[in-house]
Amino acid sequence: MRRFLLCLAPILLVCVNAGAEPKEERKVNCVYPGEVFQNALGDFATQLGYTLELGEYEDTWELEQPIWVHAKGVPATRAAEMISASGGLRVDLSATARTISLSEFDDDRLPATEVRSFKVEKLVREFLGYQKRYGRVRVGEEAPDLTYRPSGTEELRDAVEEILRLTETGGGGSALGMRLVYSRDATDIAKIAELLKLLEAPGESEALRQDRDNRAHMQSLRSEFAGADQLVSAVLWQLFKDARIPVYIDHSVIEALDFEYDTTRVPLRKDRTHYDALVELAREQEFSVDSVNGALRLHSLDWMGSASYRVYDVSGLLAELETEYAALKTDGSLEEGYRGDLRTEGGVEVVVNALEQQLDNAGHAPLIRAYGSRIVVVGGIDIVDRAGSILTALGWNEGKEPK
Amino acid sequence: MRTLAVLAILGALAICTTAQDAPSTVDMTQYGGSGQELLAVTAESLELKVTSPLISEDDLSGPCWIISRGTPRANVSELLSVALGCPVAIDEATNRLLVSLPQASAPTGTVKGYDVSVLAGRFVEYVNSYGQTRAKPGPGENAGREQTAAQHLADLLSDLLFESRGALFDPSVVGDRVLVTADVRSHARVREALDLLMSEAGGESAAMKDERAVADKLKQAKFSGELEGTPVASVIAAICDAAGVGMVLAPVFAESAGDSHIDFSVEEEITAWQAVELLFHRLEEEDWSFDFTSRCGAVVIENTAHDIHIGYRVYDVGGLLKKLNASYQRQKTAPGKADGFEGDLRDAGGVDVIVDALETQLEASDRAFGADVYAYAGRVVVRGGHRAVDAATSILEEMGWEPPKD
Repeated sequence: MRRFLLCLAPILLVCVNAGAEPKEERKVNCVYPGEVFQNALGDFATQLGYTLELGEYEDTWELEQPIWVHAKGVPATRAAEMISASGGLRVDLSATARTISLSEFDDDRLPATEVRSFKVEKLVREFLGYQKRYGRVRVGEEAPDLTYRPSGTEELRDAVEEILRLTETGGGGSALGMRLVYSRDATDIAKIAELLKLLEAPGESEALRQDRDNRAHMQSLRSEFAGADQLVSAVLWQLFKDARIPVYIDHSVIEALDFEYDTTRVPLRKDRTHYDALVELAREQEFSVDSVNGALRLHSLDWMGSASYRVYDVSGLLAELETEYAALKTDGSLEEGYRGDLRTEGGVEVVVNALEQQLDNAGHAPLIRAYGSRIVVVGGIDIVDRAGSILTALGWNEGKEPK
Repeated sequence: MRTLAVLAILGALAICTTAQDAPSTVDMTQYGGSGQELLAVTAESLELKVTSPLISEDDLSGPCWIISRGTPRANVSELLSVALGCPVAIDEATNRLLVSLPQASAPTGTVKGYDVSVLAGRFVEYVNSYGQTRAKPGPGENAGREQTAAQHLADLLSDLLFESRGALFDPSVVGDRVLVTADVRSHARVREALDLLMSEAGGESAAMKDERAVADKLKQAKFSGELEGTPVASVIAAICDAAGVGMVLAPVFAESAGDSHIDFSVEEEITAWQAVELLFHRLEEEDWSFDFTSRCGAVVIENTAHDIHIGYRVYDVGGLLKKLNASYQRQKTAPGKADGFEGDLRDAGGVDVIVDALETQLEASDRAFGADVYAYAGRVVVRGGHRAVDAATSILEEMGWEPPKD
């Protein structure tokens, strides 16, 4: 009996391994430029050989609305994510039942598939060093708001949640000692790991690098498509029809656009790239552009779901500013006098406020979050590059910042 | 050798073609046509495309009066901005004429950080020497938030360079740097203001010098003529034409000046400046209210409700402050006496003593309507027309200020 079991064990192991071997996911072509949501789902189901189960959404208004996705040769799960984001309803794929069903984003969050703990001692200790040197203190009669006094780890947890907008798509993290613990799906865990790594060694996120590549591709496209007051939908199709990158328009923009009536004055001309036209169209129609999971996204979602960001280390700049504020002090208590320092001005908030104001002046609305001497600017390449120019104008010198 | 000659000719042709591709000057003449027409004609002349995403057609339907021949490309956007009443910029990178809403972010804006450590240092020195003692807050009152010298300077720049119909100008301050996101013209104005504030002798802005130059041209030219039942705008155009200067009427004035017809007769030759004053006198009698200035060598006129003066003069009043300090010291009396004075220049308000007197006396002057006075440390700045600045100079001289020696 024992011999039989010993023989069976390697066979079972082989079977288990064979089951765990990742199967290449089925790829699909999604060309839905303003397509009715239900028709797009029908086509998607046909390509996969799945049954479309609309359930309570059968004949609803939501399914009669347009979606905008242009992605060829993408894995089915990626396609489902883009169709979901454009349609405003979650598209659930069941490989076992071979069905496509729908659900609300807000209902029943998907159960977390992974749990992971991150040791954040290095970051927390650096944060404590920052707090001791630049932490906000009483300004004149104004006391700082001390109703919420998080520990360095809790502050890091809050920063990660705000930057990656985690609480809007699942459960938050737990902070204990110098560890953070998250129960999320694998994609989110990877995003958290990337952010924590970049907070330690500042730089650009993978999504931002992808955004740079996507925009470079858009810069390689040119065409002639001009006339008085073109339909926005026609210009969008012309912009992306030859693009080799996946593109989708988020539901937040779809809701604000009327594909049948809204017009634009943005022309496409041979003497400028599709990227230039896209930037101008974004300004005119008031939407933002970034890249999510490899796809170019047009959205007005206030950076929800975005992992496109850059982390800047401004500790060297803070040291310089500390000296400058000291030089701005005047004698005693004189009218128009100044007795403060970088600490009373808010430490790193001085830099964050200037960044926000100058980006706003340039027509951008980014998400900016600081953790100690690290500043994270969330947004597409245009915003992040602009933020870099502003920091440089402030005296920040990437080469001089400590590594 | 022959090959070289052919190449040279081809090269010369190429240069000519390039020059034709980007015209360096343009004639801007519009006699009451709409803003859209003006934009379209100008853009065509300069081979640009008009882009005005946030502006409705109605916003550009008002009458435009502008005469500016041989206008350099660099001046086109400024003159258009005056005529249309909203910011206009040329985006050389995309060959577009960009029209945007007043106080919106500049579409061609870039960010620059200005190091103001020297000026901030002077402010600290000034406050230490003449700063008033801070009043203690009353019970239940919070002391106001203290500002650094650089923040005071950013406030001054915001006031001094503000244009109600211009692009957004919203500086940030970090340490002793002032950050500004703006187009090339606005950055030039910031740089000029900082340079004039730094200069030992102070001085006049380029806009002020331009207004003086236009006034001088009008004063040197002769005018006579008999204009019957003529639009006011055409009368102004005739006077400007006699002096060889351009003309731009800003939107509110353009509307009335195009509609109202007058008889304007000057039989004996007078200067063009006198003719302008005569016309203005006639219009004021009919309750017209307007202001005169210039942009890029052209006369600009607008209703007084819209401040069109962007010129200013910076005065170094450090010497005057020293004199005043001594004179306040001399006026000290023995302590505790009725009618006595125990204070000093610091208690009297430092540079505010000069600013208050200047404002009061300018208000009393009929030439200085709408002039603004600002101070930063030992500098006083007067923004307004050239006549207001001349009045301010006279008032300061009467206070004991001495003009800088050349």
